[in-house]
This record gives sequence, C-alpha cells and structure tokens, in this order.
Amino acid sequence: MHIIVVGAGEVGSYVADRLSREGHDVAVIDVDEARLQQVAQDLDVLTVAGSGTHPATLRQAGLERCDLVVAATSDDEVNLVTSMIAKQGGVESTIVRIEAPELMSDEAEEVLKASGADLVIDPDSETAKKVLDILEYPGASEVASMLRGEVVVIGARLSDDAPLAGMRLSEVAARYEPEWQFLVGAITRGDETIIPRGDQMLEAHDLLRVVCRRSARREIVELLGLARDIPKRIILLGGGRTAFMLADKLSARGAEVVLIERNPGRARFLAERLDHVLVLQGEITDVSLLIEARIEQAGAVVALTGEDHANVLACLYAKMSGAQETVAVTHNLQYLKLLDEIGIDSAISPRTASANGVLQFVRGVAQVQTFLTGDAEVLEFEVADGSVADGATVAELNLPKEALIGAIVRDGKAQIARGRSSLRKHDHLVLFAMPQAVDEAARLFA
Amino acid sequence: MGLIASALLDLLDGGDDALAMGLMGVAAIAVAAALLKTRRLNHHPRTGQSLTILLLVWVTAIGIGTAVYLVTGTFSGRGFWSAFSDSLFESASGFTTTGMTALPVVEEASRGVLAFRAISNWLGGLGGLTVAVAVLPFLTGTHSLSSDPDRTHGALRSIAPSSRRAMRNILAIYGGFSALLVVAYAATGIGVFNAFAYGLSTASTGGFATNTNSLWGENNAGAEWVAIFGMFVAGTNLAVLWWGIRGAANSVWKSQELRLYVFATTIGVVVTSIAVAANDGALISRQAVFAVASTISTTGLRAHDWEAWHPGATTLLFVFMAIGSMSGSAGGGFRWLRIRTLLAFIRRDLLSRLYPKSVLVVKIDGRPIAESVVQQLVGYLVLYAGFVLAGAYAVALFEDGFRRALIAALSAVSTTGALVGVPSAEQLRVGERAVLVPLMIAGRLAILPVVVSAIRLLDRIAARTRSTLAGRGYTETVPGGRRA
Amino acid sequence: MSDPLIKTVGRFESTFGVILGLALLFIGGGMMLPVAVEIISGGDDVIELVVSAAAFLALGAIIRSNSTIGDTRPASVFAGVAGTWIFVSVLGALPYILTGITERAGVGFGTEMADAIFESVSGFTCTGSTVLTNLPDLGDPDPQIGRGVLLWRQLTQWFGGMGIVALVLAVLPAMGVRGVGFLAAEAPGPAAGRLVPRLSETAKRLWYVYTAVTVLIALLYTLAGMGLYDAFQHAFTTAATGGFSPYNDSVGEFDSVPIEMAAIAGMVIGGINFSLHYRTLFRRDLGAYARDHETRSYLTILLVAFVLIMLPLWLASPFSFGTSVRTAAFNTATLGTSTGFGNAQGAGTPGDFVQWIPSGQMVLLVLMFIGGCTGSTSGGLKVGRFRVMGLLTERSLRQARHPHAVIPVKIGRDVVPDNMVNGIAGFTLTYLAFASAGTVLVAMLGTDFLTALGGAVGSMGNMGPALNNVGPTNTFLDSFSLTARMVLAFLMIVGRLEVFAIALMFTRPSRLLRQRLPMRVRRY
Repeated sequence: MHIIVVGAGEVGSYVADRLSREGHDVAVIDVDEARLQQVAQDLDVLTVAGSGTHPATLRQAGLERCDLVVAATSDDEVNLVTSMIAKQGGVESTIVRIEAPELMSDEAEEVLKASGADLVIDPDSETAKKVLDILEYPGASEVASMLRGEVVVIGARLSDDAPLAGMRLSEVAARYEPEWQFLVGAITRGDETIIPRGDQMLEAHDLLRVVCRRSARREIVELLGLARDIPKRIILLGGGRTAFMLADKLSARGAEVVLIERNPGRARFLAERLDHVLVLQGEITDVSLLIEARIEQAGAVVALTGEDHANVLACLYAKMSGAQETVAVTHNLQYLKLLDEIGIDSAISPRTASANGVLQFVRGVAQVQTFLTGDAEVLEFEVADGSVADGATVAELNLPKEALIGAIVRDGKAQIARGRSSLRKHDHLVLFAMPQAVDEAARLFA
Repeated sequence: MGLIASALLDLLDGGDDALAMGLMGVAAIAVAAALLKTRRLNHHPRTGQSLTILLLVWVTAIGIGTAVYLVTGTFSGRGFWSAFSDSLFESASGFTTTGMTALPVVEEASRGVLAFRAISNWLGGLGGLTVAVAVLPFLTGTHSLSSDPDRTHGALRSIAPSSRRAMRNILAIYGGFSALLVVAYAATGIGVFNAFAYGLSTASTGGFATNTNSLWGENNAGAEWVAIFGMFVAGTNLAVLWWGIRGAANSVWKSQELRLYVFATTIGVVVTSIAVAANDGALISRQAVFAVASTISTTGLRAHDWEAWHPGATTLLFVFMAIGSMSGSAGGGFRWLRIRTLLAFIRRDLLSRLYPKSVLVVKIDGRPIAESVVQQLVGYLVLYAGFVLAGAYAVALFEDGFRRALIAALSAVSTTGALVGVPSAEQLRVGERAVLVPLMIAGRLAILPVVVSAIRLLDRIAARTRSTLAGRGYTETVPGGRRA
Repeated sequence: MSDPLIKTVGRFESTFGVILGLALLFIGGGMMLPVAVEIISGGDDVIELVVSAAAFLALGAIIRSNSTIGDTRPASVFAGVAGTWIFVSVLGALPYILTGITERAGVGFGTEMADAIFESVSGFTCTGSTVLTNLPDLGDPDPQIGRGVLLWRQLTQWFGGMGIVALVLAVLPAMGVRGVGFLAAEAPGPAAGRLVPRLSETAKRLWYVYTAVTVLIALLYTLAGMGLYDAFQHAFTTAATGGFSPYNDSVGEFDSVPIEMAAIAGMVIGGINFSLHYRTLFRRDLGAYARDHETRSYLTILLVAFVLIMLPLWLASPFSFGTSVRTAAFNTATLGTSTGFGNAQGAGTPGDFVQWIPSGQMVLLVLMFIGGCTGSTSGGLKVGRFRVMGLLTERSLRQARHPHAVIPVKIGRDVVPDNMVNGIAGFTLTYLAFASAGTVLVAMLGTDFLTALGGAVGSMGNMGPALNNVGPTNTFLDSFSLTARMVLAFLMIVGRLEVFAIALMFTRPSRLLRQRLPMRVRRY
C-alpha cells in the first residue's frame, strides 16, 4: 500500500513510523523542512517539503499510486482541503484529523462529507477518553474498551498483596469454574512480553493484560490488588484542549477539579468556560503552587502539558505528597519503562491513541489496541462466513502460539473464551497476539 | 414625553376638576408640540447628554404634574408656597413611583385628581421600565448582566431584535398586565374606579392609593391578594416575564436573579409570618405576604400596621426595601441582579484568598461578567449607599427620630414610599420634602443620570467662571473694556 | 500534612498549636502585672488571678511543646489565626468567672459565664462594649471590682490592639517568610510593608513602637492631670483604640477638658498606621505622616465629620458653642478611631450622643464603618480601603459619561493594581454582608432596628458604644438578649480579624467552588 501522511508533527510522524514498520510505502509531507530532515533520518519514508493543500506537492509524493492519504496537521482547514484534493486526485480513502468540536457536530456533517474523509481522528479527545478510562479503573495503568464496550482490557501491575500473585493460571482457572469472568491475555515481566499458557505462574509486579466482561470489572480490579476509591478530587496540570475536555467531563460527573495553566490569558479563557472548576495560574513545576492546589489530597493528578519532564516531575512530586493516582502524558516514548519504575501509575501518549485508529483502518479490522509497554496487541475480529473458524471450537482452531482468543461476543452478549467455546460466523472476537502472529491468526477468521 | 402625558391627561374628565384639567391638558399638548417643533432629537447624543435629557424628561413631567395639582387647587388653603411644596412633592412622588402622599385625607380629592395620581404612577413606571430595560443597562455596564439566559445582548435585545419592536413589546406587556390587574381588582368588588387606580399604581410599583389608609382602608381580602400577586409580578424582570409568556419556562427558571428573588421572597414570608403570629396569636399570613411583596417590589402599598411587629420582621422588610425589585422591572431599589452579582463576587473573593494564584471569573447565568463591569457595580453600591446616607443626614436635620430619617431616605431612594416608620408626608417639613424630592428622582433614574448631570452642570459652571475670570483679567488690563 | 519535605517525629505538625501555645504563654506572663497590682493594692483576688495565670501558662506550655510548624497554606493560616483568637478570648474569661464580677441577681452560672466570655471577647478584639454594671466611680473607697481584674480587662485590649499573633511572630524567627500570611490574616499588621528585612524582626519592632506609644500616651494623661495608675489604665486602651475604662462613666468620669484633649490626641495617634510611628520614633522621619496619603485622608475625614457633627449640634440644639465643640470633637475621635470611650456623665448629658439630634448620629454611623488607618490598632473598613472604594465610585461615574474611558485607580501617583482593587472591593462587600446579616439576625433576636444596626456595625468595627439603646452610657446587658450578645461577640472577632479568617475557617473550598451541587453525583 502506498500511503501519504501530511504533517510530520507528533501524530503524523508516529503514524508514518507505524505504517512503514508494517510494510507500507509511506511518503511524508510537511512545510517545515527541518522537521522533515529529522523524519528522514529516523524513519524509512519518503519526505516531501510543501503544503498538502497543493496538488503539485501531493503529486510529488506519489498521489497517482496512492491508496490512502492521512491528513494529520494541527490545522483543521488544511486537513480538510488536503482530503478534498486527494479525493479529486483519485485516492481511494482519506483520514482527516479534526480538532474543532464544532466540526464534529451533526451540523458540520455536510462539510466532512464534502471533504470525502473516510475516517476522522482527534488525538486530543482520544487522549481525554483514555484518561477518563484510566480514572475509571484507579490503579490500572492501561484501559481499553473493546467490542462496543462489552468487554474491557485492563493493563495493570500485580501488587504484592494481590490474591492472584503466586498462582498458576490453571489454578486460577480452576478456582473460577464454571464460568470464567476474566482471562489473562498477556504478561510482561521485565522486558519480555508473552502470551501465556495455562502453566504460567503469576508473580507480583507482573504487568498483566486482562480481558473481562464489563459487568465483572469491579471484582477483577480487586483480584489484581488494585481496589482503590474512584478519585473524587482531580488535579489537571496543563490547560490544553485535552485538559479542557477532561475538566468539562469530570466536573459534569461531580468530581472536584482543579486545573493549573501557565498562560494567564488561556487560564482566564478556561475559567470563563468551565463551571465549577478551580483554575490556578502558574508553572506546574512550582511546588508552592502544587501545595496551594492541595495536591496531597488529590485522588488523581493528571499531567497534560506538552513538556514531558515537567509532567513527570509534577507527577513524582504528587505521588510523594500522597496523591493516590498519577497519570502523565508523555510524548517521548523512549523513557516509558522508566516512568513505571519510578512509580508513576500510568503514562499516556497522545500519538498512540490516534495511531491506533489509522492502523485499524489500514488493516481493515474492527479495532486494534497497542500498549505502551510491550509489543503485544489486542485485536478485534469478526468471524467471516465460510472461514476456518466458522463452526469450530477454539481448541480446534490451532491458533499460532503467540495468539490467544480472549472473549467472544455473540448477539451483543459477551463471554470469556475457553477451549471448548465454539465459534460461529458473525461472532466478534477479542484476540491477544504478538505482532508476528497477527497475519496468521487473521487468516483463520477471514 | 410631554405629548404622551398630556394626551393621557385629556382622558380623565371625571369629577369636579374636569375643566381645569382639560385646560391643563390642552396647554401641555401645546407646550409639547412647540417643543417637538423647535427641538429635533439628535440621533446620537453623547452619553452624558442623553443622561441629562433623561433627567429633564422627569423634571418636565413633574413640573407639569405640579401645575396640574396647583390649578385644580388640590392643596389649597394654607397659602401658595405651602400648596406649591405639597403639589411638587405629590407630583414627584407620583412620577417616580414612590407613592408617598401629601394629601391629608385622600378621599377628599376629586376623582380626576385621584385618576391623575394613578396615571402619574403608571407613566412613571413605564418610564422607569424603559430606562431599566433600554437605556441604563448600557450605561451602568449591566448590559452583560441581562437576565435572559440565551442571549448575550441585554434584556432589550432578548425581547426583540430592534429597539422599536422591543419598546412595543414592553408597552404591550406592561399595558396588558395593568389591564389584567384592573379587571382582577374590579372582580373583588372595590369599585371600578378604585380598581382602575389601584391597578395602575400596582403595575407600576407606584403605591398611590385612593384611601387614606391605603389598601387597608378598602378592607377587602380579595383585593389584597390581587395586590400581592400584582406587586410580586411587577417586581420581576420584564425579559423573564416575556420568556414566561412565550412559554420558555425552562429558560426562565435558569435565571439566577429570579431564583434569588423568589428565594428571598419565600424567606421573607416565612420570617414575617412567624413575627406576625408571635405578635397577635391569630396567624394571618396574608399580612406577611403582603408586606413582603410590597417592600420587595418597592410598591409601598400599606395594608397593615407593620410598626407593631417584631423588630426582626421590620428589619428584614427594610433590607428588602433597600434591595428592591429585579432588574428590568418597573420597581426601584438596588435590584437583585446586582446583589446576585455581588454575591458571586464575594464568593470569588473568598476563593481567591484560599487559592492566591487562582484565576476565577464572576459568572451570572453561566456567562462570564467582565471585571470592569463588576468593579463598576461595586462603585454603584457605594454611590447608592452614599445617597441613602447623605439623604438621611439631610433629612435628619429636620427630624428628631434617627430611624425615621434613615427609613425616609431609604424609602425615597428605593422609590418604595409610604412604609413603616415613615411619617405620612403631610407631616414632613418643607426642608425634608426638599431633600426627598431629589432623592426620589435619583432613585427612579438609578442615580447615575442625576449625578452625571450634576457633574456636567458643575463642569459648565466652572468653565463659565473660568472664562469670566479670564475675561475680567483682560478687562482690567484694558481700561474702558467690558465689564461682566 | 503539608510540606512533605519536612519530617517530624512525635509532635503534631500544627502551626496553629505553635502560635496558640506561644500566645497563651505570653498572655499568662502578662497576667503577672495584674497579680502584682492586686498584691500591692491589697485586693482579695490574688489567688484567682494567680490561678488564671497558671492555667494560661500550663496550657500554653503543653500545647507549645507538642507541636511544630507545619502547614502554612492560606486555609490553615486563616483557621489557625481565627482559632487562636477564639481560644484566647474564651480562656481570657477565666479571671472574670473566678472573681465572679459578672454575677448578677437572678441569672444562672451559664449566663454569667457567657457574660464573662462576652467581656473577654470585647476586650481582646478592642471593642470595648461592656456588660459590667458595677464598675467603680472615681475615688470609690470600696470598689466592687478590684484593681487587679480591672487591669486585666485593660490589658486584654492592649494585647489585642497590636495583635496576639504579631506578638508570637516576634519571637518565632523559625517561621521566616511563612509568617507573612499569619500577619496579614490578623489584619492590622504592617500594611506599609516590612520595616526591616526580617519578618519576625518587623513584628518585634512594631511591638516596641506600640509600647513606646502607650508610654507616651500615659505621659500625656499624667500631664493632663490623671494619677499614674489611671494614666496607665487608660493608656493601654487608648493606644489599642479599645475603649475599656476602669470607671463607670469612662473618660467622662474625670469631666476635664485637658484629659479629654489628651484622650483625643491618644486615640487619633492610635488610629494611625504604626509603621509611620516607627519611622517617626526610631528613624526621626517626621515627614512620614505628611507624605502618607492615608493619614491625610484620615485626618480630613475626622475633620469633616467633626464639622458635620458640630454645626447641627450648635445651631439646632440647645448646646452652647463650647459644649458642641467639646462633645463633637471627643465623639468624632472616639468613633472615628473605633475606640469607644465616652465623655458623658450620665444619660442626657452632652456626651450622650444617642440623645443628640439625629444628623450627628448619622455621621457617627458612617464613622463606625470607616474606622482608622490600615496598620493601626483601630477597626472598621479602614481609611485606605474606603478611599479606594471612593475612587472606584468616581471611576464608575466617569465611565457612565465616557463609556470607553480607561481610568486606573490611583492613590497619589501609585496605580492600585487591579487584583488589589478587587481584593478591597471583595473585603468591603464581605464586611457589608456580615454587617447586614448581623443586623437582621440581632433584630430577629428581639432588638429594635436601630439598636440592632448600631450593635452589629459597632461590633464589627470594634467600636464599643453604638446607637439608640446602647449609647455611651448604657451597657449591652439590657438591650440585647443573651443569644444576641453572643452573636455580637462573634461579630467582634469577625471584625477584628477582618472577616476572612472567620469566613474562611468555616468554609470548605469545594463548597465554595461548587455553587450548586449537580442533581446527582454520578459514580464513574
């Protein structure tokens, strides 16, 4: 597949990276030549300097043989126009990044239709959604809703006093007969991530990915040793779009929200638009300001500024002061492991959130979740009519070793998959897999 | 303005003074016509100028009213100056919707005069409404304080997009409401004429009565309930009423000012009821409700002897009197919207003391209020309090009761009128009246126009004096020059 | 738990405890003075006073030794200062209770105790309203109340004048810069900035100046013809602009023009910013007063008020010119500085201002609101704030004429920054809100409107005498019910601590933030 990515910013370059690693031909367009040079150095892609709104530039990037254009600049108008030109140039599909909520509303549907966009992504609101998910499962480091929210995949580190620590998976399974409520889909221990088998032993500090039915999610949280109160008092550090959306949603849910923003003008803007949110103005690394915000009484501290080091420092301080839960937004993924090590509860990357959407689109699967730590993926499949899987049980399927079926949703009802579960056409599956096994597994359902 | 006044004057031809009033009406029309001919209204007067025009309109109306009372000889018998002071006071009290009367025995006045009093109330109310809805919000910075939850451009704009249409709507609501009250009063059996008079003075929150003992003298429970309803509604914001009529009940209740108004009324009724019950065993909450409605709408119709009540109740009534009605209503006082905004300001201030680095915005109905507007509001509070206190000082020069002086001044500035502790106006000395008349006018016009006009006048005098002085300096150096 | 960087073992991390403990120690030490006087004068309350002093010292020592400096965020600062004041005021009632001076026929012990607390609060807050009806007359051979207790009563005002917390900060250099909030929360601290770089040193010097001023005023009194004992008794409450007097007719007891003049001078001095006194006394900078805008406005206000009171008194009432000037000057000074001395020799004499023609009382009511200068020992809104409010009014008038005008609020050549203007406006509004709520509440407890208004405004401004039934010749006993007196005592502390310490002590910030709670709090 030949793919053009317009915009070599955080989102654009990450998407380009992922796509090129998956074996696609990628061309990246950006007006900023310095940034392009950096991209050309880091990634195996073609770089073209210029604006995506100029047909000539697009043609230079290979518009005629192109299958997909991803317009991912931070400028809504540029993205829309790019998509329009691409469609006129005969490109089959386009993905457009939109930030303005006004353009996402029903009234603006015609505009989006006119631009020909097949998929709209909004990294900020994706990030906000992820943070909300994590706050809903205090203690979890990653949370993903799958299959229209019927099942949830929770990523969490097993604590010392968790009931599951020190048990074999088969023992766990035996204990929860006859009906399983959850299933451990992937384990990361140290640097290594594996898809576990029944004889796998669970140890404290293992990072587990557990799939469970939504209705059973509270028990699971307890089993993992994560039972904490849902945070009532939330401190948001940084006042960008993501923080704005979060503050709005959280305070509407009845949480007490304190937001810290550096820019006085922006702070005033936020204070005017957000009801019941206390906006403080100052640097998030200013300890006296954090004390003023009563950070030690925070149920959760979410650091959302554009500066990783500030986010991490503030979260560390919060953790040390006694804040329950800390979430840091990190743009640089290289230090992820470190964050976990020093006690920050979860890290969120705005780029992965939207990149997942693009990957799903490219692969043609319903949903893909990747995790920041470890390269295991969680995928969503539909069993196609006449595929190998249609009519077989899970055990008969002969899945590759690095893949595991986690849950099956039939007619809107979810159940945790086991060896004897049978599959039928139009069933939806949640599959844990290492990247190398994805294609092989996919063939079984196609 | 003169035109409207005189046209209405012609309408009242009942009673003994028909001829005199008819003549006055013709004269007023003539004057108005002459004025209209010579003076064409500048379409874009400067702000200061328009404030002065506003003041002049009232002064003219009061002047005409004074002339009417003089010509009809309503206050004859004690010499011209006494009659003049009585007439002036009665006229000012009427056109400012205050409702203190200088008539010793109201029933003795002719029906024509009584009707004129009611109409002066009504016109004063309409004028006040126009000022409150259309003119002042833009001057006092309260335009961003409008009570309508959905629009942003002031109460007037929320009623209709063009100011002419809005004025027509205001007139329609006000007229309709007055007519409704007249009918309701008539239905209680107090007589058609009385119903007409009470209807007009209730809708305008004026408070003139056709009985020396005010509504009390009518001795009619039904009429009192009508008055309660009328006063309460007259004290609400016209924009809110408009939305209520249009059926947008949801957005009406979103108005924080309305909620506060209703909340305060409820508290007042409860407290006063307890006080009344404590005083004379027989619990008649009608008294309490009436008193609260009368003060909170700054109408000032009396129905019972409030003086004898528990001090807690009367004190609360004084507070209501000071705060008065909702913004954009025919009533007067400091107004609940400003109180609501100041409360929000206090809340913000307390929070910012706990969080010195916080950025907090004063909001009303979910909309942010600009800092400058809030500060202006604080300035207005000081001005209002200053007027009441200075007025009280001046009144007290002629009084021996401190409390009476304070309440009289408060009653005049809030245009409430006859109330607890306020001596009936016939007992007031000339000096007191001289103080109260400007206080009433200031109160009716929300103070600013009066003060600004005074400053303009002083400026002009200062400039004139300066130029005169300069002129004299010139003449002195040149022998034989002009002399001032 | 506040500053996670400070680890403490075995003690409560409570700045409140540190300050309260030290305050109790100080006051207990100060109580030695009444004890000494009582012994010398041969009174019979020695044991009671010693017990009270011991109670202060013991409690202070226990609390102090068990707490260390902790949280210094605004919320805890306000709570700490308010807590200290309430605790000290209540405990200060101990000598009154033990010596039984609030005993009256026909009331129970509870009422007596409440009265003692009222007297103590009125003392520490420098209000000067009293419930004591049996104060001695001048030269009484067998007074019902001993000199020791009377001195304690005066001393409470002296301690309250410059501020208990300021006193504590003076000996607590460990607080460092974190004490700023405490000093500010206790109101009449050094508004003109620090006198010297170190905060505790500043607090110390303020207390030096305060003591020096007190001695100076005592000297004035002696020159005017008072005995040494009376001079010091009155100097304590004059410098503090408190208004307690050991005599039944207050300063009027002496009926002497020189003494009244000395009192006027003393009160006016007490109403001026003490950092200016510091500059005059320790830096020999006499021009400091003339350069200070607030002092100039303060003197102007007093002068205008004097004229506005004197003229109607002279022209429209039977007073002679001399009497009018004397009584107008004294009462302008006493209410314009929130002191509250009286110069009446009984109800109906010229000094009894509630019998004046009402215009004069009107002016006094306004004076009660305004009070003295910032950084002085007086109460009320303070002249500096009043001026800013005036400027704000002027600006809104000018903006009514010229809607687009940009008009900064300026004092002299200095522009008052917007957030400070907002702070002052916020303070004034909160103050007014408390005063009006207090008036309504007191009226509901059965007091007539004017007395309730005077009582509430007077208590908030730490005046002492008020309007109508609580004039300079009355006590608070007859006109207010017991509950109303407690409400007033509360208002006194509210006023002394300039509203916020109390207002914020009882508010949870989350409640403030959330104007109305959402219909249902969803779990998520």
